[in-house]
Amino acid sequence: MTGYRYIVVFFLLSMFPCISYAQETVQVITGTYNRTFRYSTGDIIKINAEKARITITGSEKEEIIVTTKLISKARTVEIAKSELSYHQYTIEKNKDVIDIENRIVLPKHVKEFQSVLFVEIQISIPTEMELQVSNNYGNTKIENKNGKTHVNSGFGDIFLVNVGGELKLKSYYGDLKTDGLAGHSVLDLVLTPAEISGASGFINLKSSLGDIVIDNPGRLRALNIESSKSDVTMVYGREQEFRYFLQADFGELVIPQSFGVAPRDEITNRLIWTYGDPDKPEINIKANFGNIILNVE
Amino acid sequence: MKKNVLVIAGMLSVCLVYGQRDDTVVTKSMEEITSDNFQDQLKKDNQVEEIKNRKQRLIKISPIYLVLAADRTKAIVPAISYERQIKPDLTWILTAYGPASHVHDLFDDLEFLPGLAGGVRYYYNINDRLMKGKAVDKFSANYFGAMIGFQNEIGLLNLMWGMQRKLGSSFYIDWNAGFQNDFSVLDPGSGSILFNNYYIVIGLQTGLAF
Repeated sequence: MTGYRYIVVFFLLSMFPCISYAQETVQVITGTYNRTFRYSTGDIIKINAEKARITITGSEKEEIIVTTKLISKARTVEIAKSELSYHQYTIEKNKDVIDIENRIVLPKHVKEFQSVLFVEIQISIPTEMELQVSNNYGNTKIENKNGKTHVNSGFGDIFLVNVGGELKLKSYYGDLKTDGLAGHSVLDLVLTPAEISGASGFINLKSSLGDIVIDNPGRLRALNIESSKSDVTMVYGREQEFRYFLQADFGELVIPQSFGVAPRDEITNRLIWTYGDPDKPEINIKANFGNIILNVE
Repeated sequence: MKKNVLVIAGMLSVCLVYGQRDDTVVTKSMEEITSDNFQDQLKKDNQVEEIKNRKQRLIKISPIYLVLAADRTKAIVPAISYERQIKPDLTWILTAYGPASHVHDLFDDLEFLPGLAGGVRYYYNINDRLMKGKAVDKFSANYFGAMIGFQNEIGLLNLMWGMQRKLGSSFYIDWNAGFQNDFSVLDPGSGSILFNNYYIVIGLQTGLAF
């Protein structure tokens, strides 16, 4: 065998550990619950969950369809079956409120989990139905929703697609991505970087320690952002559609030269930039210890 | 997680309809899969459980607390600290110092110089550690802190960066580095204070934590 062949064989052998690392066989037990409710105007749905992957979709149907999968993954069937009971799942309707609750509770005599437990909740609701979601350690996705929507998320990602109406959202440590946000939105974000694409309507956003990207805003009526220790970037195609008031304290203002107006120093460590006709929708951004960047494509 | 899970064995089609209430349908299914991150996920879940049940306070007893600085190096034996959570990543801390000695004269020239210091700590990577499945109980994370205290009629003002980690279930280690100023209150009546130059100081303490 020539030296060249030795090198090829050595290379191929060295790849085996990379291919076969750390895979193991896991047993999965899934308990699936299906429930359907008739919808009456004024009904509210409240979801209080943890370690849940929640998907809520607005529909034209006058009913609420809930499919919940309680999942337990473990090395043996016995452990997976046994620990499936750690899920404490309830769904009930009291008057006009549908309550869905899931907790994962480790019994006192058990030291630690031996199985990976999580929940998948898929809900179809009328688009106008009031929705209140609280989810910790899990992701939340809401699509095609109008009416009142309240979201409270901790340690999980949030995806909103075509959500309008009245939105109140709080997030602590996660990622937020929205596409087609409309109506009145109030967003309170801590340690939550956000990408907001194609937004319209009114948006009030507070962010701390999470960068904000406003991408291709549609028919925004007003945008107010107060950010702290976060950069705010706006990316869009048309530049003279809005009236701007941008203020950066202890940060930079990056404005394309095509506007023809440069930021001015208001006081030490404060930059201000104003631009646009008074009758245009207002974009008001105040950044503290962060940069504001306008990027016209 | 789905992307990390590959179904290799056919589903064992055990679907048992064992309960029906109103329009609720309950089924159970069982399958065998291969996972390349099961162990990591399990560890992370147990860390999350740990932080959910985490005590919001910590008592630390340090048999020896080393304070290293250019010409002010000293050992303090012992030091007792009480740390309490304000927010998940913010705590206040109170430390009582016992007798102190210059290190080169350790135990030979021990003076009783009781002192007291208080301050706050901001643990900036506690969430990152949690999401990576690392230990976060006993405030195990990196921090920025500010302390103010008094020892032997000298005021101490300390701005620091540090790391605190638990060791096993009952011990801890905490080290920090920062700038300290030993200031003197010249006239308590008028409140006039004499600040000296800041100097670099390194603190190291280890001991029991519960």
